[in-house]
Amino acid sequence: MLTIEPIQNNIVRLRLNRPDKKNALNLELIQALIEALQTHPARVCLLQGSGGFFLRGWIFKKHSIYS
Amino acid sequence: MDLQETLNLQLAEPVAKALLELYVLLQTTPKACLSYVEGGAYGGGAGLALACDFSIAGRGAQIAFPEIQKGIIPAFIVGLQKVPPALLLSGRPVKPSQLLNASGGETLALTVAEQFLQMEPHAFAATKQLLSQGLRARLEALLPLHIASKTSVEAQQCLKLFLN
Repeated sequence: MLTIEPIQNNIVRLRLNRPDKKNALNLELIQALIEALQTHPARVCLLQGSGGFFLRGWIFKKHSIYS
Repeated sequence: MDLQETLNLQLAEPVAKALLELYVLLQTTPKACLSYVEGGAYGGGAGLALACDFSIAGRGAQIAFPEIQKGIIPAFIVGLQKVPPALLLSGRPVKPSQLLNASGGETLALTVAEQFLQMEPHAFAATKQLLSQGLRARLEALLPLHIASKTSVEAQQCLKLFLN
């Protein structure tokens, strides 16, 4: 759900990896982000999505006006 | 938030509290927190992107806070004090040149990340602390409104319309 990808020394990519849900936040993903921010030793965190989008807050079964 | 999960009332409070902790952590941690936005960042996603210290727009980047169009009050987003009121009050999407700190590809995101490594860590951490003064208290004060806006009858009915 959250993929932790070291990029180089002191930089880590935190990838929201839930593309089937447009990377929408749920409790598990929020907690994974908190844990990574608290425990990973990198000094810079790069938050990024997967599947071609960052994070869609709302999941629509039908077309959203923003789709 | 995942709309199906938003409709789960029992999850509303723990999710809201965890989200509060995440927003506070992003703005108070001595780490530099960057977001690289490709494609859409909507609602809570837009909030997460802008809660970071720096946002870089990639291909097709677009940010919107459609909550108001769905009968939802984006209480925490207001509390972050990082989003122009016009976006919250209209729900209209904007492209990166109108909002994000920088446009460019993933290469630029990595370059910016490296630049943050050059900063003096104590000054950086202290500046973040100063910038986030009062944030926790603001978000805690907004917590009941945030939960109520997600769990109100009106909001639930409105959200269900989009699921059926």
